[in-house]
Amino acid sequence: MNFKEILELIDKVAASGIAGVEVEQAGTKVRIDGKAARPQVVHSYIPESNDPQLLSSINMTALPAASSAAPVPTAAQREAESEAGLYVITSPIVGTFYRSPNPEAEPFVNIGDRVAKGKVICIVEAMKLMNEIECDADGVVARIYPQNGQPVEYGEKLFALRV
Amino acid sequence: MIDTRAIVERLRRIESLAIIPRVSSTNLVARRVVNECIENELSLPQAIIVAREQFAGRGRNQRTWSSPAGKGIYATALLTVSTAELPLIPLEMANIVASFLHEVFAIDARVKWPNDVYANGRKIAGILIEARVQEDRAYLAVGIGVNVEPVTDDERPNAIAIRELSPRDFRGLDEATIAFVEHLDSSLAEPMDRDRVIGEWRKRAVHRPGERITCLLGDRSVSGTWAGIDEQGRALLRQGESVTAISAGDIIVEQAR
Repeated sequence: MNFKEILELIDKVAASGIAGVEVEQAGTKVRIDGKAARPQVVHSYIPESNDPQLLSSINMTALPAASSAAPVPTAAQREAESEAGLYVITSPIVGTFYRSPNPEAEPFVNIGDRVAKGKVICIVEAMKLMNEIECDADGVVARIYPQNGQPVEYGEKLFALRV
Repeated sequence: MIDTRAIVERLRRIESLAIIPRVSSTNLVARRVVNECIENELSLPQAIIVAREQFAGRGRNQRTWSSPAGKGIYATALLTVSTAELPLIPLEMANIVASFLHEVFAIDARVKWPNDVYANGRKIAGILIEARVQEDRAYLAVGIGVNVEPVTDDERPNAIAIRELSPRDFRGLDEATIAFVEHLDSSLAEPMDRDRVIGEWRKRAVHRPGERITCLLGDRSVSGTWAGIDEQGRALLRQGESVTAISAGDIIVEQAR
């Protein structure tokens, strides 16, 4: 998805009055929440890719802020800023990361969801043992690092919460 | 008719036994109990739930586990274990099911990494373990399905049942179910010693050193030969001079015995 398409999508969401939209394409995921007066790109990520073209499209997703007076942050600045205020949940074990209880089910959590301590937020499977991982803080899901079905290491970042 | 009260009196670790005529899946019921206990800070009953029939029995990744009435043991054990024991659980559960088939029915049951149970190269039992970790304890729902009577089932062409293999005469499903509950309980009452669990699993392994295997992990796959399991129960895959320890993913064997 390129910059122009993202802007078009933002315009459409703003005009439609719908609550929001989430689009996943070629490893890039963009979610636009339309509830606020000004649509806002809540999150965008690309896992395990250094493809400059895709990365540039991620940079561009930060641009909707340009419609306000705020300066446009670079990806690196955004990374540092966003990491700073976030609570990161890491994997307690080596295994395979699953976002939903089964392939047909809805994910346990999505970006923007408010979660309470103790809520199951994902499964990490190791040796066919499905470990339901609980959220250990209250907050709003700001980031989901691994892709569904991706192997994760011990201590690898799974989620970041805005607490 | 199974006299649950009389059975429970004989058990050592399991405190209660519920036999339900028909449920969606015993693991689902067990998970609800686990959630209820966690939410209300109650201790988890050490229990076994048995269903006569499941209408939504399932295996890993929501694969269905066909569970018609009168054909199999469909059970879930609710257990609390220490997190230190947790990594041994998948292997130990496979050991317990294989030893049940061997001791009670004289079936040469074998384990495929980490916890599938095979006999005569066909699947005779399946295990699905779900865990919630609370500090140093893990609350487990260990779902076990054992084929007792043969089922003509297109979904499971590779299945085999106790009745087809056992040289021993047994009356039927109730007798098998009672024996299973007692065997599970007495096995779980033993301390979970790492060397014993790993040693027993190795002895029962369907795999042979040098056998070609492929490990599927996410969208990656690695092929090599079987080099056993390490002291943590991880599968060892050999590629030339290097050996990789695998703790997650699916292992495909060219031919399971």
